[in-house]
Amino acid sequence: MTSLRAGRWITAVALLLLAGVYVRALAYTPIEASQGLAQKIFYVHVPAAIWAETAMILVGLASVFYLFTKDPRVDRFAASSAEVGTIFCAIVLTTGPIWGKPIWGTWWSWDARLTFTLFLFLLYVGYLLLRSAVADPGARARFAAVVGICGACEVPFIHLSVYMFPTLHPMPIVLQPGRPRLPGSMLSTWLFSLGVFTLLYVGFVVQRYAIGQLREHQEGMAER
Amino acid sequence: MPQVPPPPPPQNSGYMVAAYVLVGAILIGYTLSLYLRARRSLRP
Amino acid sequence: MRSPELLRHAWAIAAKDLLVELRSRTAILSVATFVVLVLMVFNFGRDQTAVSNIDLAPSILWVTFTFSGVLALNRAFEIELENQALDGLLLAPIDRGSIYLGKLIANLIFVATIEVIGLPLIALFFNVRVLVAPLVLVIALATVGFVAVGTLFSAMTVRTRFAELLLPVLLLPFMILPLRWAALTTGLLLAGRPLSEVQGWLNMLAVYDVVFVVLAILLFPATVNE
Repeated sequence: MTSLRAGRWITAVALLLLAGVYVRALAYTPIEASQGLAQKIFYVHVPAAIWAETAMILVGLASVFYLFTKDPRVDRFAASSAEVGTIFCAIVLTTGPIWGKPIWGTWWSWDARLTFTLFLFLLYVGYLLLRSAVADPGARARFAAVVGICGACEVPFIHLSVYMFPTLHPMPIVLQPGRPRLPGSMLSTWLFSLGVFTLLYVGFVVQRYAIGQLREHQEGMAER
Repeated sequence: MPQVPPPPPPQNSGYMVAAYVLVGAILIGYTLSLYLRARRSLRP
Repeated sequence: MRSPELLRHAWAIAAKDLLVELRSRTAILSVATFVVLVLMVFNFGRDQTAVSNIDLAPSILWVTFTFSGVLALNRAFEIELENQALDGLLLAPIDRGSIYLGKLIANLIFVATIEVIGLPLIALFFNVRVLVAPLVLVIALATVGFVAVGTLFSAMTVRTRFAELLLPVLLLPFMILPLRWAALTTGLLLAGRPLSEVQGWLNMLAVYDVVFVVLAILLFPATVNE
């Protein structure tokens, strides 16, 4: 299965590069003065958050595509992106509190962004649960597409919520227009990490897609 | 005015280590899960 | 898709559902009992010295309505499931959109009835003045939001194995936002703040409602295509 092998290679390279990110972030990037070493969690937390959300948007787009084309490959991609997105979301939800405890003094706060990530996670879990609860592949794909589109449409509202309420959460630091406040070496570490997480997303999705293909093939064989 | 040195950064490396270990564990765990599931699907 | 026809069909479907409800009355009575139970649990579960009623009231109100609402939604398509009545509806020469609208209207009326029962009870049990006009508007807006999404989702979950569990799980993320805006607004209104202060959130609720009702109408056919 060539796409499976490709996916495995990409993932292997990504994991190797991840080790590189670890070394760079932990040993070769300056310590942030006010937050200390814990701030370095930022280098894994934020790229994961970006992909957790992007994966959901991709699920939404794929879902729209699916309803128009009824192409099972599109549905397979949506399922893959959802699963990988859930993993990244879990990373954000766990590293967030670990970063928050030393900095804000509390493991959890109903801060807008943490809340956002929590229910991004709930959207993902709902999507995956629905998929597992529907036996017929056609209905499963259609239903998942409906939930996927609704989920993706909710994301802008959630974003509005985040910016409407002042919060404990560090305000966007990397993409602030006109005033990038992240010093050079920190920025490059962050960008490196973002690249690696992108590669991880691709590798994981390709593998999951291949597994989906294999399983559907098996289901088809079993029916005969 | 005498120069006052800025306070040293707080000692919280434990959290950093915990987070990085956790992220590694999750990613490697998921890689393993994908590997095993693919193997199960490839087995006739 | 002609508007008046769409609405006429929708209303016919809603009327049918409501007539069925009215005849048996089991559903409305069960949910009404549920409301009373939830309110009693709230009462026995709280520390009367710690939090004032007026601070707790928005939470009580919204938890009660959302949980009861989900219960109500679960039954929305169950009626059709018995005797496969849904197939009959689908064969009829009407736009799929009107089936959704009809279900939506019926669900809204059902949930509204629960809220009409619940609000005076909350006012009574917790000694809070909740029967304020702007509050009713907030409740209406938030309800439309989550019932719109809930009606769409219940069409899908009704045929799955753990329907009663799956619907709340799917619906919860879509309830949180309107709920949050509504609870904030309720808190402010109960504290006597003027309507102008909550205008922003009311607008958000209205936009949310419009977006998701339209989305649901567009997506509903995908839930019933055979």
